[in-house]
Amino acid sequence: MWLLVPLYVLGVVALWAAFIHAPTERQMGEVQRIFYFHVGAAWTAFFAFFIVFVAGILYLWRRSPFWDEFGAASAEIGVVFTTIVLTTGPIWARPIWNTWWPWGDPRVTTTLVLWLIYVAYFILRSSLPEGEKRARFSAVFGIIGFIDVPIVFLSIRWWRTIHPIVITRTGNRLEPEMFQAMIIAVVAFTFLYFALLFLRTGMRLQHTVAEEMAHTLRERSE
Amino acid sequence: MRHLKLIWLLAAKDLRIEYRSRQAFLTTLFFAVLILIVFNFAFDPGSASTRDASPGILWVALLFPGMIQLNRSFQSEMEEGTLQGIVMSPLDRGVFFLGKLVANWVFLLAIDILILGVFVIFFNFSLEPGLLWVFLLMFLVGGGFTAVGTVFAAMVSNVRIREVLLPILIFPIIVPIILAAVNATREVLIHNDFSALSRWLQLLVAFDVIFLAAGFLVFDYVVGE
Amino acid sequence: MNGYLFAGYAVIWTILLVYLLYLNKKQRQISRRLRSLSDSIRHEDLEE
Repeated sequence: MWLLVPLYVLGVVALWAAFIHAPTERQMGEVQRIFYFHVGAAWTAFFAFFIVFVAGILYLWRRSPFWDEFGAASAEIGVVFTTIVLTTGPIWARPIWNTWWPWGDPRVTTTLVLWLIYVAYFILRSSLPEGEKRARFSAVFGIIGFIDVPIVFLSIRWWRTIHPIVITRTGNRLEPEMFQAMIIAVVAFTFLYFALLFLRTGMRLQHTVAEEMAHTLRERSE
Repeated sequence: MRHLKLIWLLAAKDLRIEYRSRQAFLTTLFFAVLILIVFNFAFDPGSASTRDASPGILWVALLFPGMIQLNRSFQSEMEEGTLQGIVMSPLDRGVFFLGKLVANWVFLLAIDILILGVFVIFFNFSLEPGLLWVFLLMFLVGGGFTAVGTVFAAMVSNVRIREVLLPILIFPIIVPIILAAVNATREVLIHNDFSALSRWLQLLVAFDVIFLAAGFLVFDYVVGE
Repeated sequence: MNGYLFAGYAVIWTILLVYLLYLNKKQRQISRRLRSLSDSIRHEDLEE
């Protein structure tokens, strides 16, 4: 809960940075301001999947249910953030590129595939009864999925490209205030992610405890 | 090298079962042909845009029956409960994985070649050197597809909704090879441009290597404790 | 243009809000469950 205060502060700062601190944008107009939160969510969405991958490995190594719940919590938050990215993306894209969905763009389509993998992860989990098997399979799927994401990105990049390259290798075409706003938003979202992660993992562990208690009670009454 | 022999024995066992009752093979083949036919009704057969879309149609007709076959490949284990036996035997699970993989791969290739023939007929392609490249593509795609697919098929073998769950799990993962397969096929058969091929072939080889290794390493956890 | 901007942020906030409400509901469910379980345990102990 000690995370909450900096979280609120960051949230406010991020909003200020996105709307006031950052200058009025170039050709894109006001719509571009979505970009800050869009990127924040996108970075966190992929980071969350990395955590799912790590949690999966840790589970298979340590076999502690904690890592399973941790991974699943991260995946849940990941889906939410990925959904945010996928919905704000078209809203931003339409007025600027006059298309709702640029398939050829590697970042956009990879995020879509990431979303599909997340959803598949949960459908897999829901089809299996709670327990060691479900944890094992979730870990395996998370690991394979994560290995796959960079390959998906590369393959789409070899297919076509239109996404505006905002951060190029030589530098960024952003004004300094815009870059600051972006970083602030990214940090804010990361804090939000971790806060939600610990919260949700705690909830999942509580739920497991409750299940065990119920189970013991049922056995005792027999 | 005793391992290689084991892998071959396992694969041969599965393939022999398939061969004896050719029903499964023929039904899967029939399903693939049906898909090709449905697409010919769905699109305007003569038009240029359909021809351009045909590589995609070909690969859809190959991948969906492929999924069905993957599910079936673990059916006998599921029904007989032999999966438990394999877990407890001294047999290296990686070897078991490779055995299943080879069997699935060969089965898929057999279907692929026949479907390619039907495809050439339905879509009016001429018999040209490009077709050999398509064989190569089928070989490579088969490897990656069965690598990922065998792992997932083992995972869902005991789940009731496995028919629908397996595609849900596999498709996002094999997006790269779908892209590679369809685009390379298009380059080769329609544009007759062989220069763009190498990039897609590299992608396929890399994908195969990575997921064959990953599948091999991870299968232990799928089948065992 | 501004319509899109508004829509964009509205979407973000809505999704986050919905998620938080979902978490809230789940938390209440768990708390309720734990309370009823501890009640049952106390009940059991009394019966012995």
